[in-house]
Amino acid sequence: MLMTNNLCVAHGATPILRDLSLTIKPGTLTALLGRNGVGKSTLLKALAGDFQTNGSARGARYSGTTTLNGEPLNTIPPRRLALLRAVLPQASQPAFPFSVEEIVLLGRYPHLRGGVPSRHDRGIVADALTLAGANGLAGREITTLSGGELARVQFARVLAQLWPNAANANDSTHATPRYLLLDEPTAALDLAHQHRLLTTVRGLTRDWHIGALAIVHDPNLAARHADTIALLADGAIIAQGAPRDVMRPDLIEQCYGFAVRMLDAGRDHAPVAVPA
Amino acid sequence: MNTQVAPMPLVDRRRRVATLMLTGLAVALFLATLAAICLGAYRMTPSLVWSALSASGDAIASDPALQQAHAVLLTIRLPRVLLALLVGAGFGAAGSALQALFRNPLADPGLIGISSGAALGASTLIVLGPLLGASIGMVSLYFLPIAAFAGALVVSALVYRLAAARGRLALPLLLLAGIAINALVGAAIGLLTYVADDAQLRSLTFWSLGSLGGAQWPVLGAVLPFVLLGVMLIARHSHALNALQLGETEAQHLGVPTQAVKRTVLVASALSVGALVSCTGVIGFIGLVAPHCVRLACGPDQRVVMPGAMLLGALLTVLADLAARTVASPAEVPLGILTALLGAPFFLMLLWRSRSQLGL
Repeated sequence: MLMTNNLCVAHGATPILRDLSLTIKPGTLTALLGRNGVGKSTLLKALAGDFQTNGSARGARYSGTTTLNGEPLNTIPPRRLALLRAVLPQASQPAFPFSVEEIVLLGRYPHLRGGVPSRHDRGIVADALTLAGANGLAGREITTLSGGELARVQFARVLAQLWPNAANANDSTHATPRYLLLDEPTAALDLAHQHRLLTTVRGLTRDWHIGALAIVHDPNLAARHADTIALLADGAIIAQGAPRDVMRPDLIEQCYGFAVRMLDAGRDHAPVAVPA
Repeated sequence: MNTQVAPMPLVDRRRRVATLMLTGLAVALFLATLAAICLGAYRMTPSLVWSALSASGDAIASDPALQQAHAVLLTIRLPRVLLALLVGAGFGAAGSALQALFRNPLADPGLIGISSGAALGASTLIVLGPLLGASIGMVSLYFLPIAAFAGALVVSALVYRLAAARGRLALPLLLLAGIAINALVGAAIGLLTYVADDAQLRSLTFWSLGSLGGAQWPVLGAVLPFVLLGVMLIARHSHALNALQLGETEAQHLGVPTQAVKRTVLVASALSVGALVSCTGVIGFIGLVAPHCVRLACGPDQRVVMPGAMLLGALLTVLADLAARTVASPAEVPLGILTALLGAPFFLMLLWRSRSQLGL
């Protein structure tokens, strides 16, 4: 489990998160929804361990306990933490024209001894690119890519970081659970890639036994793919549960401050929210 | 799972180009060094150089030509060429490290003020040292690079603190901070010029122009350990510097100890630059041109750019110093002037080509 309890984060005098508790279970995809600026990225940072290292969150006061597989986050050294959890950030633009493969290879950083990638690592890079739907971009320089294409390459990098080694691959349920944190992964993607990415992540939670948390803006996208939806409003989780239980007009309105009504989407899917 | 080696066309092509380029640079550097040893105000043929270096003491004493060649080589030519190599390699390494650290191809020890900081540290010691009762002689040889290193370090820390916060870096802030610091140091050195006596004045003038004329074995011996240490520290963090290109937070998530890497690379760059500036004055643009050209040809992998920049930097400096010695022979053009004459137009061309990335 990757969990945080009694999490309080304040930026200066303004509290952002108050006494918040959230658990990410391995084998499930949790979607985190909330208004702009409510603190979703802050919560993701806390789960990623950014508040444990100095310099990463200057000016923020933080209290609460965050544990990964039972160990407090601040006791895990950075190198080992990188083998246990990966974070897909919001869009960032590296300044130099690295090739797509070089970027994905950087995802293997915590696995490399002495900095030299092996044949095995190069194979993982190719597989990660395929899984992320970016193998058509191989051989390109990242400065020539569009925002959505770069987002898929970064996704491949994160997959390469979490790629199961031989021991894990054969016996996924007994392997050490790992975690994938995604900060607005669908923001730059077109419709097809949005659904494809979340389908892939959900599949990985089963195949690789990882726990995933994705910050998503569209409640319908979340309801379609997530096992659990958590609604963040006013610094606290106001609802957390299966999509069918959380997709209610009153809860969505409380979360977003926007009135919606639900449309039936069939027996197998949670209802779809549209403006009231 | 893939059992065959995955084809990576761009990575493989870059690796081939990198091997070719590094080999080519090494060969060119060897030839340039040979030329620099032989040519100058006193010309020697390679065979004369070889005889002067390999002959015994008696053979040299009996042959006046050999004696003169031996004297020129050992007291003037060799230390000077070696210092040129050191300057080029040191600035090349520091430039490549700073560009990776600041995630910007325009970061250069001179542009962002680090060279000026070093010059200020050294000048302060020269003028105010006697006032504080500092001893002269061999001991001061080590104090000078240390003072320059301290100046370079203070400026590096200041510039980084100003321009980087919360994992992001602002280029305009970086360059403007460099402008401000260069102006401040210019004024401070001007002030020191005012209170300096004649001998100190000559030294101070030499800082602003930059020259390899002061190359002597004791000086080289004092500076070499600093530069070697700086370069080794930078080399150790090449892979981490690559990961840092993704961003500080992203690198941290990959397990890179970003705070430690930043501190070490900044200190190492200040060490190399400071030590070199303390004996040559401010020589600019090598740290900008060398890494940039290597990056253009071989891609931005720091593990290739750093050695390439060291080789190319050394090559450029040796050739520039050769020109400085021979163009207006027997007078010497200060090296700093030559590198600025060649480097500034290159910088302008760089700006022209990167207009779209820089906001236009």
